[in-house]
Amino acid sequence: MLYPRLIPSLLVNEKQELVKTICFKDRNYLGEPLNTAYIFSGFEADELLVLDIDASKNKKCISLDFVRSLSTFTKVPLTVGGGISNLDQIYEILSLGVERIALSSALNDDIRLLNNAANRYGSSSISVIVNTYRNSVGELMACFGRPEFSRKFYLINEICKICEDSGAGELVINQIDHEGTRKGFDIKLMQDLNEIVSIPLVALGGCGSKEHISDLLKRTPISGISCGTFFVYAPETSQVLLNYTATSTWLKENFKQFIDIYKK
Amino acid sequence: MINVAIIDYGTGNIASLSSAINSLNAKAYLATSLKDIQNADALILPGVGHFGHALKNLKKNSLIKPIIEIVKEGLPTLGICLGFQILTLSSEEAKGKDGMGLLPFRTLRLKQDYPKIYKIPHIGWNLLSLKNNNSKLLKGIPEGSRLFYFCNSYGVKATKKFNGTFAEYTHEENMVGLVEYKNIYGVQFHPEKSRKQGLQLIKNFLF
Repeated sequence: MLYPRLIPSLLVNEKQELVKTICFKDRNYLGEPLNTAYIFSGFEADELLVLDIDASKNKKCISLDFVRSLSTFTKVPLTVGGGISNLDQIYEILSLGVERIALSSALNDDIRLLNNAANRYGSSSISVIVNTYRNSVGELMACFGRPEFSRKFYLINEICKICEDSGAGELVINQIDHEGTRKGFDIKLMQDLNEIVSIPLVALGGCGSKEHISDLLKRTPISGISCGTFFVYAPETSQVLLNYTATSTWLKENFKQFIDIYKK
Repeated sequence: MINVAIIDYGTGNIASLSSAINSLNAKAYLATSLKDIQNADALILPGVGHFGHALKNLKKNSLIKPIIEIVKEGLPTLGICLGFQILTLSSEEAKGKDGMGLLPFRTLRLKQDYPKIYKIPHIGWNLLSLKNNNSKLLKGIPEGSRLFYFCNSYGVKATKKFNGTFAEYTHEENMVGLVEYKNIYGVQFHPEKSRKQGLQLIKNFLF
């Protein structure tokens, strides 16, 4: 039986500094990303999600030297993203010892990049990050990359089906308006999406407690739960305190009772 | 020093495997030609990629027959993920293309009758359950620690007549996660990304 994955998400800026944001804004400098990744590797994290959040904006791909170091300093499965926009970049990143690459912004230009990447490297090597938020009148907006004025916006169900049909091996649903807020996941949304797609879903954005994780798992057998704030800050503060092991051990001991309900 | 040839299909992702092997006091190198293979003390067919593309690449380098021969002569060989599937008779990922046929199994698309619960690809940590007690690869890895990292959409299904050592993992149905058959070993998961138990498994294969 597959265990739900608990995935620290690490955001890196253009200077290759580790940062944390709230709702895509209010950047807080945390420190050195390689050192942090090394520590999470020591915690035996189920996986790490590492994203260069300035790369697309600067029309660059995440630095290969950085990814090489990341792969050298860690022993855990890695998903890496940030500005990846062609097959050669995907090949180079995968060959550095990365399990999956994450696409997002580049899919605005051409969704066929996803088809081509999945055909060439297999769906299981390709994740897609879908960014979503509720607008001022409560409608759920979804897009690839940053939600800029010029973006094409989709219905969330529609964008998820497009990704699945185009060969995505995993969807990371990033709830921008929950990010860094510690208010929990949009459980109803994750439940609805998990019922319409047949590929793994990872929920990202808003986790602030173990209860947020168990509440989500009790409602839907989601494949992965990714957290930034929850694993990099001490509770209720913005003081850096990397933590993982207590939550991971708790989840391993308890997840069966959360998800057994689906199997009856 | 043990020389370990890692077969290159041109699909990447062998950096972690090489560094895991090198950390065990063995020497990993990429093999693209017959000569590379002949100098090896052990052979690894790595994971990642497409069954059809990998075979096409091996064929282009005229490596299929030599590998089959050298493995039949007794060279210790480990197939990882796709590399394991290539050792079987065939795969639904590339219909009409033969595998190496060194293991009497077939590779099938993972079953998905309940897509709300069982997602494909099968990504994450899953437990192995050993079907007999004589595993070389799992030696020194206690039953509760046989948790390994998987990333696959296709899987290997046991045939009734197989009586070698094997272990299963469960997704929607039971599939073969590990096989030992004479000098041939196959694992569906990625030992190079599977914590200390994964490193132990690679060590068990090499020494």
